[in-house]
Amino acid sequence: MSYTDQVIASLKKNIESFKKEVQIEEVGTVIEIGDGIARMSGLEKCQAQEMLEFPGGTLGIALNLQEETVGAVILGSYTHIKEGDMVKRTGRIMSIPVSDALIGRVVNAIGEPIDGKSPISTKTFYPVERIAPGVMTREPVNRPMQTGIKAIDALIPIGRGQRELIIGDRQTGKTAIAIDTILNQKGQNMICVYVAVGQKESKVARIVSKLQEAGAMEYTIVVSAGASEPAPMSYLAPYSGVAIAEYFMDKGKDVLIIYDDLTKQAWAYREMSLLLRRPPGREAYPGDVFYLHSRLLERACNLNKEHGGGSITALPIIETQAGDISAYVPTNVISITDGQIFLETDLFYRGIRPALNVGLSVSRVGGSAQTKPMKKVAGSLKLGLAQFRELEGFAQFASDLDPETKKSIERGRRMTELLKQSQYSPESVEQQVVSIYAMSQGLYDAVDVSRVKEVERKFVEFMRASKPALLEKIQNGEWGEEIEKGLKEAISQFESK
Amino acid sequence: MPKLLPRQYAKILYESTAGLSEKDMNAVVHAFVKILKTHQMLSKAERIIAEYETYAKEQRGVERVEITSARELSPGDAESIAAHIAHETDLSVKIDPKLIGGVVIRTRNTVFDGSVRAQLEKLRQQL
Repeated sequence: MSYTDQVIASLKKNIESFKKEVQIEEVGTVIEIGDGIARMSGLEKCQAQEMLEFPGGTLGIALNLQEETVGAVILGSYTHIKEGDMVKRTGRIMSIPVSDALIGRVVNAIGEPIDGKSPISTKTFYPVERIAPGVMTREPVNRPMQTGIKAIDALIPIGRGQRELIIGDRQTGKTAIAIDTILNQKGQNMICVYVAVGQKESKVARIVSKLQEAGAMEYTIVVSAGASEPAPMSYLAPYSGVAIAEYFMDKGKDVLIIYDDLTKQAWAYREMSLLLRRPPGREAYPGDVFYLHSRLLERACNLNKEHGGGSITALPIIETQAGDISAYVPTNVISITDGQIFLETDLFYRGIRPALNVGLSVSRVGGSAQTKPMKKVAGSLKLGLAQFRELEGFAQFASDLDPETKKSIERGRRMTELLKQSQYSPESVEQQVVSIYAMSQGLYDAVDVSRVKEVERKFVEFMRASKPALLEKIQNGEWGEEIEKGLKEAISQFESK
Repeated sequence: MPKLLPRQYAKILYESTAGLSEKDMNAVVHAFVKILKTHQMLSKAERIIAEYETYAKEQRGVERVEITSARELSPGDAESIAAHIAHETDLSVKIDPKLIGGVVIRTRNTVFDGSVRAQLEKLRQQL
């Protein structure tokens, strides 16, 4: 049968099997509309957070259920809606379509594709709001999530199922850390979800093209609520993102989700709440802004084997103003997450990038999320840096100090230099381990601080070329006297060259 | 923004005048109008009166039903449709050829769309 014949036959079949039914819809009437909020009368049986259909197919969510009226936020343009228009119940509590076909796509907060490619057809819907898995379904975090950034993997390690906050002022490299982490997940059996909340569309476009270039879109989904979209989309986007992540987690996969950033979601929620006439609290945020973030972040977890063994690792990003981490929203999110990565502006301008403040950053999961080799070598690095921080103030009087102090300062300077890393160049675990081990063995002590990165690069090249077996063992998580001996030998070989 | 909806004012009026003698009712209505003035709702008085009538009818079990049909209905048809919805109805009938065929029945909260136009739309979506 030719194609046209097939199409005609399929159409005929569909028409014949079409059942005629009277459409019964529960409706209400718009009595007030403006600023993306609509108040309706009627809709007596409307449920909380139910999706409503406005004229023109626009959707809205019913948030305020009162005795005679329902208040809803409109997801999309509302200029075509008039007072007196009819609004229908859809019977569906806010949910988005999910499927494996989402991988590699860019969608908006309600699951519609915005990358110009084919529509996503699926019958599976996941609720945007869901109670987080309970205590008995979880397992402690014990597997590493490698970011590829030495400073983080060694000193502030992140595990699969953990929530680690990335916090800092604007332009300190928060998104850069997030993107580098996504790039490093290649071949790590992870699915990544990047939720862009209230970001400039140009920034999102740049990120997507960078991910595509690096081949990262093969395991990444981007959910974007741009700055030009109404506030309810920004409010919804993180929840839609985690719903998609839960779809994959329920299949036993490990998922990394990045919320960039939650500050803008809090702003959007504040805007919506003020327009819905909910009473403002501190900094004009509504009273439940803590719950906004806590219920989102609690959905990141590590499930035990009986429940599929999947996990969601969350990296929320918060932007502070003038380094004020004691403001309302930053303190809220710090108390919710399992640790934070502090990025500071003056470290950034001093050339230390990633601009991590190692002293104030912490990972409450720590060593359980590190491989054995990394745990062994990171200890000396941490100690050395802590000593250096204490003595940093005396560094200017270098000539008047005793040899021990001088040595600590010099070693500390080289450690700081070693932890610098360029953007888009994630390093594998074994590379980081040998690099840091060489530092503890004094490989860089004789080298000028400005040449430390060059020497590191050469050493890593040397190791790849002449000791691949050793590197493989370290990659597999092995460590012991033999491996240490092998490394020491390699270092002296390299030094003699 | 008004403090309450016209419908809510209507409800209040209905409940406060239920079962009163004529003299008492006058006093209550007088007080009610004064409150409307304080709330600056006098301009909506007509709306409130209309809502009062609708509410009073609902309380007696009379539903407001609006039937829109594609063509003229035979006499008695509209009444028998309405009888299925409630005992007593406040019926209004409109003609709209854009429905192509069938009827659309609208009560305060529900729409029963049995028009051919709706069926075609549903078919279009399915295909």
